[in-house]
Amino acid sequence: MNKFKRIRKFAQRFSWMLLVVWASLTLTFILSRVIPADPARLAAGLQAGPEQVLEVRKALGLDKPLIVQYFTYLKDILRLDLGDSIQTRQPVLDDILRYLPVTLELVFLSFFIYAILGVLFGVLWARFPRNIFSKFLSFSSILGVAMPVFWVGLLLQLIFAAKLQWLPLAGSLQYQDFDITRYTGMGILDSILSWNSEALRAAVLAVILPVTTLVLSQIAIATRLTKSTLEVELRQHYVRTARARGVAEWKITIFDALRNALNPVVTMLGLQFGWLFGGTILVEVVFSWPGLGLYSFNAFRTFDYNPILAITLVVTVTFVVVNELVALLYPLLDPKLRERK
Amino acid sequence: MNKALRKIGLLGVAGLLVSIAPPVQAAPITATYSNIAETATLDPAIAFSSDGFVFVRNVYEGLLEYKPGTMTLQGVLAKSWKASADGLSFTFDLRPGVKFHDGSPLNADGVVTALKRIQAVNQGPATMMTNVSDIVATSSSQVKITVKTKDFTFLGKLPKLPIVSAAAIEKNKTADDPWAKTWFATNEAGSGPYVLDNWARNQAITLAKNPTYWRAFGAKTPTKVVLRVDPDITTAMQLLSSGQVDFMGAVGPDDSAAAAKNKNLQVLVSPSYYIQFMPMNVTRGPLKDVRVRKAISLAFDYKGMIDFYKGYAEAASGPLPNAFSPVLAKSPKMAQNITAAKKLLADAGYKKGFTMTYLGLKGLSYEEFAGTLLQASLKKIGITVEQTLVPWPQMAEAYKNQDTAYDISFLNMSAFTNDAGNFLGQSYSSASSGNKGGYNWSFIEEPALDKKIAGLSQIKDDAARMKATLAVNSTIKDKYLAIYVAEPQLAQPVRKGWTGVYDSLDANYTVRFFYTSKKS
Repeated sequence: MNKFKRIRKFAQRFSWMLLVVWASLTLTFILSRVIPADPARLAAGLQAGPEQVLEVRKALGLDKPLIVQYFTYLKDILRLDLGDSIQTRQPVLDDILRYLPVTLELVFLSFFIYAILGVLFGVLWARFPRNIFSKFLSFSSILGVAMPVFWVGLLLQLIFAAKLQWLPLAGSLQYQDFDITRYTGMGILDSILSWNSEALRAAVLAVILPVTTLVLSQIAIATRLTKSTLEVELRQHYVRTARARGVAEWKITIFDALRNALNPVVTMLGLQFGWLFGGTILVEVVFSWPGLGLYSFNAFRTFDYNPILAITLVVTVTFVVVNELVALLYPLLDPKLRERK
Repeated sequence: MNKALRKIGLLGVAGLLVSIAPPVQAAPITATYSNIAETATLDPAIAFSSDGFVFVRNVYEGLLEYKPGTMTLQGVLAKSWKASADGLSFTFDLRPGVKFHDGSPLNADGVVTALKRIQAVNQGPATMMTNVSDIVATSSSQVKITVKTKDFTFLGKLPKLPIVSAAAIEKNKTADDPWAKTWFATNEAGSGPYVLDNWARNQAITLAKNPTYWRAFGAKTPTKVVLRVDPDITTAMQLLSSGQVDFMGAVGPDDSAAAAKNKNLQVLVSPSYYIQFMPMNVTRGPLKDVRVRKAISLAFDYKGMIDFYKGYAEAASGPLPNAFSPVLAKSPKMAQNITAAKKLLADAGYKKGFTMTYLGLKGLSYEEFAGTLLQASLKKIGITVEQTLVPWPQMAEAYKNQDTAYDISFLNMSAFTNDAGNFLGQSYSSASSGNKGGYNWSFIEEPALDKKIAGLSQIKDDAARMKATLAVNSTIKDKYLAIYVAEPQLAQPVRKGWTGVYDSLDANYTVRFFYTSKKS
C-alpha cells in the first residue's frame, strides 16, 4: 500500500470515529433533554423559591433554547471545555480527570486478570473436556453470567470482609492516612511511586474485592468463547496433520490452534474492555469506590447534564479507540490477513 | 539528717519531673458518619440539603441555634438578642472572643457582610431571608436586622443562616466572583467546633477539632469527624455493624429494625417534626370535589403504612406533625373507613369509581410501598390507581404545572424552623403553589387561606399563635387536600456507646457532633 493510500485510509477511519463520537453525543444530548426533568431545582436546594431556581438555571445556561444549548456544547467540546456540573458547579473536566484514573485502576486490573484467566480456562476446558475441572468451569461459567454483579459484590463483602475480616469492606486507598502524593490517582501505582509499602498493602487489599467481582462477572464469557472457538480449531485438518507428524499436543494447542482461535476472542475482549467502564458503576456503588462509576451514578440520579455527556464521551471514545486497536491486532494474529495487506 | 535531706531531694526531683512531664493527652475520639451521598459544595450559602447540612452545621455557626433535638433557641455567635415590640427589628449582641478558622475575629461588620453574602448568592438559605429589608452594624459588637413585614417567628430562621468569615470573602474574592463562591465551594472559613482537614471527593470529608473554639470540648466529645460516602445502604450497614462507621445518614425502617436486633448497635430515636403525605391535585377531574378527596382519605390503609415502618412511625392527625403541639398528639389520628368512603364516593356521583394517577420517587422503598398500598386501598372503593415512579428531577418537573402534575403524589415534609405557620405555608399557600415552584402540590390557591397563614407569624404571643395555627391546621385538614400517610420516627442505627441526637429541623440526617459523646 502506498503512502497516499495509507493516509486516505487513516483519514477515513478517523472520520468514522469522529462521526460515531458525534452521533453518540448528540443522541445523549437529545435523550437527556427530552426526558422532562428539572435538575436546577435539585441543585437550588430544599425550600428554594422560583427565583432561586431560575438563578441556577440562568447560571448554567439552561434557560436558553435547546438548539443554542446544543451548539454551545459542541463549540465548548472543541475547546475541551466539558462545562460545569449543575450539582457541584465545578468544571466537569476536573471531575473526569479526578475520577477516571481511580476507575482505570479497577478496569485495567480486572481486564488483564480476566483476559488471561479467561483464555487459560478456555484452553484447559477445550483440551480436557471431561476433566472434573472442566465440569466445574462449565457450572461456574453459567453461574458467573447468571449472577448480577452487585449481588456477587455483596456476597464477597459478606464472606471476606464482614465474616472472615480478611479484606476491607469498602472504599479505596485513603491517601491522607499514609501521607502519600497523588501522582496518578491510582492507589497501587501511587503507593509504589511514593515508595510506601504500608500504603501499597492497603491499596492492594482495597482493590481485591471489587476486582474479583468484575472478573467473576466477565470471565465466563471469555472462557466459553475461547473454549468453543478452540474446539473448532482442534478439529481442523492441520491439527490432525501436526499430530500425525508427532508434534507435542501442547505445542499444537498453543502455537497453532489457539492462535487461530484468538481472533473472535480478541474482538470480544475489546468490546468487554469498553463494557467494563459501564460495568464499574454498580461495583463502585457497592464498594464505595470513588471513581467514574460512582460519579456517573450521582450524575444520572440528579440529571446532571454535563457530567452525563462527558461520561458518554469518555465511554464512546474508549470503545472506538479500543476497537481500532483490536482491528490493528488482527493481522498480527492471522497470517492470511497480513498477506492480503 | 542526710537521709532526710536525700528524701527531700528525691521528692523535689520527682516533683520537678512531674511538673515538666507533658500532660496526659486524652485519647482522640473519632466519629465516623456514613451517608449515601456527599455534599456537592462546601459553600454554606448554597449547600442546603440533607447531604450539605451535616458538613455546614459542624463547621459553621449562626447567630442562634436550636438546642439539639428541640425547638428552643440558644445563642451561638450572638450572646444575647432582643426583638422589637412591633416585630420589625431584631438586635443581636455578639459573643466576644470568637475567632473564625482563618484566625479573623468575629465582629458586627463581618456578620453583616456574611448575611449579605447569603442574600447576594441567593441560593439555599436565602429563602430564610426573603422578608429581610436591612442588616446594619449598630456598633462593633451589635447587629440589627430589620424585616419588611412584622414577623415574630423570624428568630427561628437564624440557625439556618451560617456566618462565614468576612476576611475570607475579602481575601478570596475576584472581579468576576465578588462573593468568593469558587473558593468557598472547596474551602471553609467558619467558626464552628470542627475545621476542614481534608476532602477526598466521593470518599470522605475529614473534620478536625477546632483548637480555638470558644466552647470547651467534653472529655468524650469527638475530636475528629469523618463524613464518608457509601452509596449502597447494604454496604453502609455492614460497615456500621463491623464498627467502621458509628452514625448513619438515611436509612429505611428495615435497617432500623435489623439494627435493633444487632448487639453492637442501638437505634437512636430523636424528636421528629416530619410528616409524609400524598397531596391531591384539586384542580381537575373528580378530585375537585371535596367528598371524593375525603373518600380517598378514608379509604387509605394507614395501619398498613405504620406496619411497614415496623414500629418506627405513628399515625398522623392532619397537616401538622403531632410533635408541634400536645393538642395534636392527643387528637384523633387518621384511620381507614371503607364504608364511609364508599358512601361519600356514591354521594359525589362516582359510585363506579374512576381512574387516577400516582407519581412516586423511584428507589425509595416507602414511596413505592405507599403507591402499592394506595392502589390496593382505593381498589376497595372502585378507584384504579396507575402508578408511576421516577427520579426526583423528573418529579419536580412534572409538578411545575398543575396540568402536567399527576392526580396524587408523595411528599416528605420536615420542619426547618420552629414556625408551624411556615410549615403549613410551604404546602398550602398560593405563594408555594407548584405552579410557582413550591411544594403546594395540591395546587390549592385560596386568598382567604393565604391570609390566615400569613397572619400567624404576626401574632406576638406564642400560645395565641399556636392556638391560631391549630385552627388553620383544622381548616386545611377539612379540605382533604392530601392523605396524611404517616409520621415516621427519626430512628437511626448508631454504634452502641454513642449518645446524641439527629436534627429533625435539618432534614433529619444531620448530627452536630459537638453534642455527641462516646462512652470510653
